[in-house]
Amino acid sequence: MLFNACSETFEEQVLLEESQSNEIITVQGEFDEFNELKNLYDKVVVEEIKKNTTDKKGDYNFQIDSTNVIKKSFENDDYYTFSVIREDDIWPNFENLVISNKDEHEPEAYLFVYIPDAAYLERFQENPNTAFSGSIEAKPLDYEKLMSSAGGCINYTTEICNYGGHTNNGLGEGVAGPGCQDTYIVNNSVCFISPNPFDGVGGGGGSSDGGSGGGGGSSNDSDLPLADSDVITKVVVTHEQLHQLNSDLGFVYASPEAYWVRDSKNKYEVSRVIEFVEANKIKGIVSKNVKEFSAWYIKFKMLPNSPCGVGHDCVKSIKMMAQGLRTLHGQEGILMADYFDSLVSDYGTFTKSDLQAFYTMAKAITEDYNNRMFDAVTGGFVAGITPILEIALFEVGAPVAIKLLQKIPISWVYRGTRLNNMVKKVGLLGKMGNNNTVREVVTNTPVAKASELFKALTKHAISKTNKADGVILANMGNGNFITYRPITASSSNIPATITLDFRAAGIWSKVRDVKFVLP
Amino acid sequence: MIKENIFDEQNLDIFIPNDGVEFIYSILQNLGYRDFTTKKAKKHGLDVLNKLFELDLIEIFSWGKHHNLFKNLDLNKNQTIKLIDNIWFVGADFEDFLNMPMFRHKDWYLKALDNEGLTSTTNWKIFVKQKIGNLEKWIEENRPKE
Repeated sequence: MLFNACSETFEEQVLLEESQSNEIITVQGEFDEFNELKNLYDKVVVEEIKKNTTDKKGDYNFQIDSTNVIKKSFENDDYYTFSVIREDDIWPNFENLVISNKDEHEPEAYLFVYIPDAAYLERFQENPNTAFSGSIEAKPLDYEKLMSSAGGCINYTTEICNYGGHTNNGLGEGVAGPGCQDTYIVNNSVCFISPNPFDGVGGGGGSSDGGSGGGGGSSNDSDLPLADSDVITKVVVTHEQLHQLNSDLGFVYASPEAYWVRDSKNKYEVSRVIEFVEANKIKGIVSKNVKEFSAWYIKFKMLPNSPCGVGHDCVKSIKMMAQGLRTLHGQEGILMADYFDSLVSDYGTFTKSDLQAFYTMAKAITEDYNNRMFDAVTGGFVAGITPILEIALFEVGAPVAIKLLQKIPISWVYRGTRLNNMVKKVGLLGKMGNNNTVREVVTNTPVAKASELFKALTKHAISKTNKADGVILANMGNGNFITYRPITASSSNIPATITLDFRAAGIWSKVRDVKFVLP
Repeated sequence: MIKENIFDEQNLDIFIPNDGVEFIYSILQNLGYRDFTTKKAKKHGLDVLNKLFELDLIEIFSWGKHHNLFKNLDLNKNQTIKLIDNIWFVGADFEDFLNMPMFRHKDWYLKALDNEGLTSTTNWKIFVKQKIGNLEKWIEENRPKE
């Protein structure tokens, strides 16, 4: 068998045992460019997938990169190699589908899984064309054969380069690559375990004379739904796109960021970044801003999911978010970054659960900013106000709530648009009361939280005046007012009430009460 | 004299316990006024206050900045309305009403609504429709018998 192994840019040649050292013709192109390929593919791949009625998510559920097909012809035999894409790819392993169409033989298809060793990964950083080293696993894509066989081995011969380019794999010899001028042959085999094709493959690649696979296992009779025959044709993110993204963002191959990009678990996020980068390229060039944002976004997505204090320095993570918001999200980002930085400046007074709550909030706000960046819409700051108020009023204890509210900078509540935005959020806190001019916030510390919120909202007040029964009136300019009312000024014995008269600003046509009550 | 039935549906919010009548601006707002400063608003507001006192539905919660001066006076309904009229000046707005009399609903009314299952987050209009029906009649049935 003769096939190619394709990783991002990696290519190798492996020659079937019975082949002779005649000339090998290699042609590379897209799926539709090979006339016979469609029928061949339908026969040995699509038909086999249709036979599989038991394992929708297993070996038979994959896609191929139809944009990059390598055909190798040797005498009268043809071999087509495709890069396989799976939702659950595990980097750095990669997988190829090989279809053989040999003279006087029925066509066959095989899946080859490549498991690189550390030396290969190290070499790859410097030379993506370096010869593959590691182990190989394989299995025929023949449902009946797999279900009836007790196992088997695929014999193949590797074409090793004796003289020419890209011969050094660090082990004294290398698989022939581009530029190789003289080759010799080494016999190999790779074995698989049957009859259950869904237990993965066994045996080992690279053995000299074909070791046999291990024991069996029973067939799987579960009644999973039929596999879709079109599962193969859709390509989500190709290896080339991943490689291009890492290149565009300047991620070194072995860096954690590059690993993250290649990890199929992150396919959705990665595809967003690819789309963003491609959409913002100017004459094929990625601008500095786009590059910096995309790289920071990936680092943001890589933040640990573990709880604060359990192998996760949440303060450091919050600072990282603040840094990105400050430098990449314009004026709105600076407003939020100031707040994050201000809060973590005395995080020592936070309990672990308070810090966790704050971290979760900061992450959600930053995520929202990023989503808006991808969608090219503003408003991250305004949207970020609500979670901050909610965490202060509903989730953390009074000491931290007071801190959260006290740290709200005056720039957030400058009279005018910013204050109006803030007031809109405050006026919707909690639950609706008996009608839609009343909101009710239930908290264990209504007075402390209400009075701090009042102070935060009125930092830029024109004046504050004491009125009857302990009411404090803040004149917010242009006919708008905010009051704080203690229990002495409540006919319903409400511990604290903030009243918002923003009729003049046109926010609400009626005066609005936000009552702070005990549970 | 503005002739109206204060139990008309558009006035229903003045019967929301305490909130409906807490400040003078609360009453005006629940009568549909957006501008509290007019002579008409004041006249209408006083008429409604008069009716609410007549129904024995409300009482003074505070005389505002005059509380210490008036709190111990034993005033009848007309004297109370007259005093409010003197305190309330045409042109008064939100910030001014904070120093003026505050009102609350009578305990019998609050207790009767409580017995019907009203909470602080119950939608008032739906509650009246589903639990009370005819509010005027319900008030008459539930007010303390002399």
